[in-house]
Amino acid sequence: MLQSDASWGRMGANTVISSYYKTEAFGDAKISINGSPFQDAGMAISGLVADIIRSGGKGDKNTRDDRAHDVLFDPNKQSFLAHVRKYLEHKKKVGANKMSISYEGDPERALKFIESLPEKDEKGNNGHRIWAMLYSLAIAKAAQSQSPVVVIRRCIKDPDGKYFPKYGLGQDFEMDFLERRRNLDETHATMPMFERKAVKAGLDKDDCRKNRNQQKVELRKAKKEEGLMKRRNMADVCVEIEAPVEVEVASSISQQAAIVLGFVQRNGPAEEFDDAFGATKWLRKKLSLARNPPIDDVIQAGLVPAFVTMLAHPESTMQFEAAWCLTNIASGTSKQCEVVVSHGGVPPLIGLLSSPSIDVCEQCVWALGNIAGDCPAMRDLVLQNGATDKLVKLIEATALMGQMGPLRNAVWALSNLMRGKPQPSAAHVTSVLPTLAKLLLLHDEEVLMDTCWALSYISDGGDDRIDLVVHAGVVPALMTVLREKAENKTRTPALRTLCNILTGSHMATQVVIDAGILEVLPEAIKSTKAQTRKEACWAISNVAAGTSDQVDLVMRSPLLANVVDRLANDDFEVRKEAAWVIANILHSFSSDPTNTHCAMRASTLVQLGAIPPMVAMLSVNDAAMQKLMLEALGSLLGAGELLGASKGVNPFLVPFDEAEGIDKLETLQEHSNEEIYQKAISLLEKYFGEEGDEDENLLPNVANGGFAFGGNAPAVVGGFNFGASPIDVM
Amino acid sequence: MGDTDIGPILLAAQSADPAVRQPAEQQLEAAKASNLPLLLNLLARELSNEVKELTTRQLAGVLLKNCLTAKSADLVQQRQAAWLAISPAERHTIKTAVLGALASPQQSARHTAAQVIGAIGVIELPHAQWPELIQGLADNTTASGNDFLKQSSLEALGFVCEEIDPAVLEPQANLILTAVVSGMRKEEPNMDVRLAGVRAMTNALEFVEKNFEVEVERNIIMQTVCEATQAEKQEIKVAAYECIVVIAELYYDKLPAYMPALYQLTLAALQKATADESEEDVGKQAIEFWTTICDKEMEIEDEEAPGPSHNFVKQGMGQLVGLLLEAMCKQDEDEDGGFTLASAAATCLAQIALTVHDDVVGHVIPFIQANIDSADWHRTEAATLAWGSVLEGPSDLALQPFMVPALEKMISLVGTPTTALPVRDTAAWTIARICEHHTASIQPQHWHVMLREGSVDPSGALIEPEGVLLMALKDHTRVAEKVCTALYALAEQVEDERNNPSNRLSGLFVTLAKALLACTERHDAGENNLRVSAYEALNMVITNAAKDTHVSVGQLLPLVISRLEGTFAMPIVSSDDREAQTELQGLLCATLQVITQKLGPQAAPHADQMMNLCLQVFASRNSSVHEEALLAVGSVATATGRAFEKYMPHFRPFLSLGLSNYEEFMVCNVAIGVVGDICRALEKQVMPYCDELVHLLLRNLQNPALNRNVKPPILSCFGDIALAIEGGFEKYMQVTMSMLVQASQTTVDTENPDLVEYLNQLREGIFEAYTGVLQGLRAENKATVFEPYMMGALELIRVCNDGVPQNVTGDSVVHAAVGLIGDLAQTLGEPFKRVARSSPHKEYLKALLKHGKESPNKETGEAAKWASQIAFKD
Repeated sequence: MLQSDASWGRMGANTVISSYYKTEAFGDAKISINGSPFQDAGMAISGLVADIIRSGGKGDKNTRDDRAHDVLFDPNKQSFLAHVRKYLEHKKKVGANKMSISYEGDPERALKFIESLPEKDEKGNNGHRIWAMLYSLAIAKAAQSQSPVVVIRRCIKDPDGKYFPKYGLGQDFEMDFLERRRNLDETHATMPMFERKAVKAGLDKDDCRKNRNQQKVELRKAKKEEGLMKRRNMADVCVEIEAPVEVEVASSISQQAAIVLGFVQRNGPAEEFDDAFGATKWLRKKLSLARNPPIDDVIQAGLVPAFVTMLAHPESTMQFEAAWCLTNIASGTSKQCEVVVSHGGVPPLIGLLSSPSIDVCEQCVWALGNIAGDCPAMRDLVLQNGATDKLVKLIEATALMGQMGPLRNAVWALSNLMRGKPQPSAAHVTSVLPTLAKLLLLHDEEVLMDTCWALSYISDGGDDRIDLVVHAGVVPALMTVLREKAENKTRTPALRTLCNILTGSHMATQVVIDAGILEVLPEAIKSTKAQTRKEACWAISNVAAGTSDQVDLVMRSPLLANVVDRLANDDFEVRKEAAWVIANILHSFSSDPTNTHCAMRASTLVQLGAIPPMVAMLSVNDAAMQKLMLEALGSLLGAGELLGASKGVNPFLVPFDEAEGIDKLETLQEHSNEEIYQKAISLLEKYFGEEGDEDENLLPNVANGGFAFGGNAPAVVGGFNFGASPIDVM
Repeated sequence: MGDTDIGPILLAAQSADPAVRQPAEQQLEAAKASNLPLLLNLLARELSNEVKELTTRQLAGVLLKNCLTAKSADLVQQRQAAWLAISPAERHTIKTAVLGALASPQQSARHTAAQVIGAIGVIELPHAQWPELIQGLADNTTASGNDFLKQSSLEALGFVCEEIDPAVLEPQANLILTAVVSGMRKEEPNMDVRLAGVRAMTNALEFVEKNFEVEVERNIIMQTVCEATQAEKQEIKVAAYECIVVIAELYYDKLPAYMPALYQLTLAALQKATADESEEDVGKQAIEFWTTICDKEMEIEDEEAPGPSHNFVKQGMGQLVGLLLEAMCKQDEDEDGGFTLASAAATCLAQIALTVHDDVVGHVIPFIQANIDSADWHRTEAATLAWGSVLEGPSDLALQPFMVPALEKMISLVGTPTTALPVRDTAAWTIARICEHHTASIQPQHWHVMLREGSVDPSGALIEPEGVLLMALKDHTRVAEKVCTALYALAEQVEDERNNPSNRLSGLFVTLAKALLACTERHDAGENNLRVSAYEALNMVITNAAKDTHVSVGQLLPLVISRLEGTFAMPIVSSDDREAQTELQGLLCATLQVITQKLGPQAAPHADQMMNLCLQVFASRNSSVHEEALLAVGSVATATGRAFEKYMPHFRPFLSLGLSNYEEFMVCNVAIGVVGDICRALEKQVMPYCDELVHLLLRNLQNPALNRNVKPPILSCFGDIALAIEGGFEKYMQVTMSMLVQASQTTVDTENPDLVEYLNQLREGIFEAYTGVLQGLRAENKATVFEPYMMGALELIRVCNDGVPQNVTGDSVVHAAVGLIGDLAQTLGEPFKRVARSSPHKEYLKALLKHGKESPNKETGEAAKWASQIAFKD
């Protein structure tokens, strides 16, 4: 309809559009452009067309205006219809669903496109032309206003009365536009509906251009950087960025290797030092290439023993370069790493940990960390050569001096020395624990992270290892880390260490409880990460397996409700751990079946709604879990017998039946695992005798169109008053 | 106008005859300008007058509404202000008239009235005016015995809810909900009323958040919506399912209690739709529900939305996937277009695969095995599509056992001419998906079967036919297009080996180039996007071709040039012809660009021809072609270096045009990049053009209408110019430096990561500009020219250092900033060092350098080391 604004008058009357025709064609359709409120599509197009014509008038406005008018306003003209027909045929040929043409800000194309659209679709419905017109114009319009993303959400009521978010014609180029824009500007949230790309979408010209453009930008950046490096005379500080052709590298490796090997063979004559140093540095740079460092070429050139020898060179700069080379060789495959070890690289590297040059120390730490990280055997080799003492000294010195770079590296190397199974010997562990305890007090995230990882590796073992960790007094500090650094990368290893300790002796468990683990777990069990929720449940299950007092701590904790909730609604892995919590609690009863206090625990669980999710666990495809749950349910029903003995009624039987427990048990009689069906049968016989054949469908009954959720919702008949709800929602 | 009957004027304004239409339009415009209240009053009276023609009543309503609303924000404001400026009494008269029309027995009259009410409500309610509106509409729906009035009042409520800021209606949410629920409940005998109720509910969902928090109320809403899915009337069912989709999107966390029912409902609807075509729209919405659930659970997994995930998809997929697979067998016979039940189901399946990863595999394999060899092509196609749909999401490990037999099956389906076309099409698409996501599973023998060159003996008898994919490039355009996608994906995989002496594409290069070039020449290449796909695949093959193919790439260049030449001789009689020509020119320019980029100086002998053609292409009015041609010219400049000078006089006008095209900002952006290419190519010889270039760049910077993302590259471009003309930049110093200082003062909401990202780009651009200027001046010993601007540069460094602790300052900015510290020290020497080594400057400079040295990015670390060396150590 008339879409009047300031510039309207200037353009003359040609720009007015037949609103009646438009609104008819769109029916009740509504659209939203770029998140604007939904509006009548007919109205939207009027405004858009006006704007397009106005902008189209930039160059040769008279002719374009007239033509636009003819095309748009006289759909009954013969020439126009002929064009429509021609277009129909054309589109049929090219597949009307794939129109990846850009209309942005190109009124000529938009008009051309409109010219060529069919007025009615195959079923005789209005739509194709008019919708495509709308979309193309909306896009063009949005492009003019520098809107970075166009999101058109469309709902339409078809003439035959259907109401549905539309896909199909028009949607494709709209999405093209979306994606092209997104490259530059990601800020706009889009409606999920229209992000749904056609299942079998093929190549898109605009996407491809976007890629090419991006590539060009990267090339330019590299070229620019290269030019700047020259101007800044950075050449000798910088490591080369671009990998030259490999063949050239290999041949020059042999040349440089000859210099280095000769130098070593001749016991390092002073006059050759500069050349040998230069060659080593050159080799180091090659080994530092991000892509395809020529490790094998360097090994084959026989350079590893030479580098090992040069570690003993009096000049620390030479030691540094050699250590760097060995570091990068050790960073390769296990085979490559082994070459460094088999040529006796480890002892001199450890020796240099007490070098006065901090650069050399750092480099050797790095090399040793790589070697130790390769496998437990390599790790033990490094340990046997006395790395721990020197490393501990280095850590204490760098921590004292605040040399964070070397310190981080050293702690990382230390964590690698503690990692893997079989675990390193207790003696090595004992010698590093005091240092780790001190590191926990530093405020450097990376140091903390690797320290926690080291502790988690150590504590991931038998009670003796756990006791070592507990006696090192790290538990309170770990708890502080967990409390204060709730969301960073130290959280996982700190929590894991504490959970590991919980698996230890009752004493160890108690230490962690005293430090307040039960206060931090509520946060963890609600984490968005399934892994964290799982570990939280695992931790609780270990407390629940503890002394009677420890079990009662769990019973009193609000965590218990969370556990039941996890058991009911979570990933299988989390549910499994939650099941262990419940099973451990109930186990306390089955190991003491006359203890009313223990039986009351079962009662608490029933009140928290544990039965339905427990029964649900019987259906999982995991025999061990099914067994565990059968035992737990057995204890639970047993506890019910004890509690109900005075009244002669087991109070848990009804909730068990309501949760379809009997049905489940009956199903399990068919189970292929003998133990499981025996258990199921014995439970059925013990508690349910001959009954239990009821088949009650708890799903809402759909057949008669009635639904009731939450049981006692008031009837809707006659109009329920929301304002009268007992809870004040305002 | 006075008491004029407005009906005839409205009709005249719709006339096809300009002589009739134009005066009427002018009359309406004049009325609008001179006395808006009167015009609106007339329109409202027309709308509400039951004796008038329905046509004019509706026209009047629409015009009335259009006087109150608009799309662009400024127009909206203007119109809202105009309405609010009308006296309350006059407005009251208009509103009363329109409200009266709500009860009209004419459907379109009362519908239009509802729209007008909606529009007025949207303006007045936020201003605390018309407080009785919602109550009135609600009363209409509950108290009135008039079904027309009920229906249109619900519609009006829906319109208001849809467009208004939810906060405005929140206080009246109870009232609205009560009305809406009463309208949509199953006891409502009038189906039109009920439908209006369901739709109003969909619109209202967003602002009833508080009600949705209360279990009792939520239960009622859910109960009523679920009951509506069981209505008789198709439209109500579809609307109800759509409502459920919106609920899933808005209130995922509240779904667990309702999931058993929703599960049963949606699956039943899907099953019904598969069996009964008339239920298709209901079925599509039911599928959309699950696709939305997938979206939600993926968002939670990616931590884009708060958790926890209820894993509905994982739990429900057992039956769901089976039903989707059956729905996928309901393909449209004729064409693979449109969003049918089958394609909705396939989309959903692909989303499920992305959501549950490995777990989906076991659910589709039996179907695939049972149907892939079916005699009914529908089932074979569905099995093929099912496999292709689950290729992204599950791990290699989970798919691996089926990968080889599946690939071989796909190859055999594509290679067998008797396979039904839709199946060949989908099988080729599936091969493309394998190429994209699982290249490692493709064994050498498969490469051979797919891509070997055919061989004949000396007598010409066939020894071995050519590979399946090469043959399929000659198949139906639908199949050939998918093969192009596959080849594109294959070529894309070797990106990392692009600069190697040789790579996996080397042996195939000539074969692929020949086959794809032949494909572009097919007479039917215009269908199904085939020509575009073939050229794009060729471009990717060239882009990632290794060094040992350069000779062959070089041989392509004359061919591509002659093809581009040929486009100017294409006969143009229709606009379709013009479109085809433009498209082809764009594709060929792109191919020229990638070849030139690959060959570098080796392409220089062809530069004359290429430039000549590109300049002709610029005559086209199409923006994307301009982008392609500009990119090609940029590559030519890089390839030719200083020799590019001779093209500058001819290219300059088009470059200026591109730089001035702020409306099509992508063109502008590309043109800015090309300026950089030219600066690096011409160096000092670019001087004569700099006045104009600098002028245009500055003008762009000042233009608020230019997309902001283009602005950082402009700043960086000043650096390119300065590096090229070195001391010659002196004359632009004052104006450009003040721009940099202005740009440095930009602040953004640091809570918004997108804006922070933009801020970083902007700052990087500023630093690059400073660096270019400093290094350029240094080359000609003009360092003192910069001294007045030193403090401005330092200030930005300080600000960036302040942003380090909050993670506002990204690594690339640190890199650029520490580089600038070095440049300042290197260029300005003592005057800078004196300042830098005194407080307060030394603190933040050293802090930033320290931060730079600890960067995980090697280049940043190196730059920081270099800078601290020359700024602080001597």
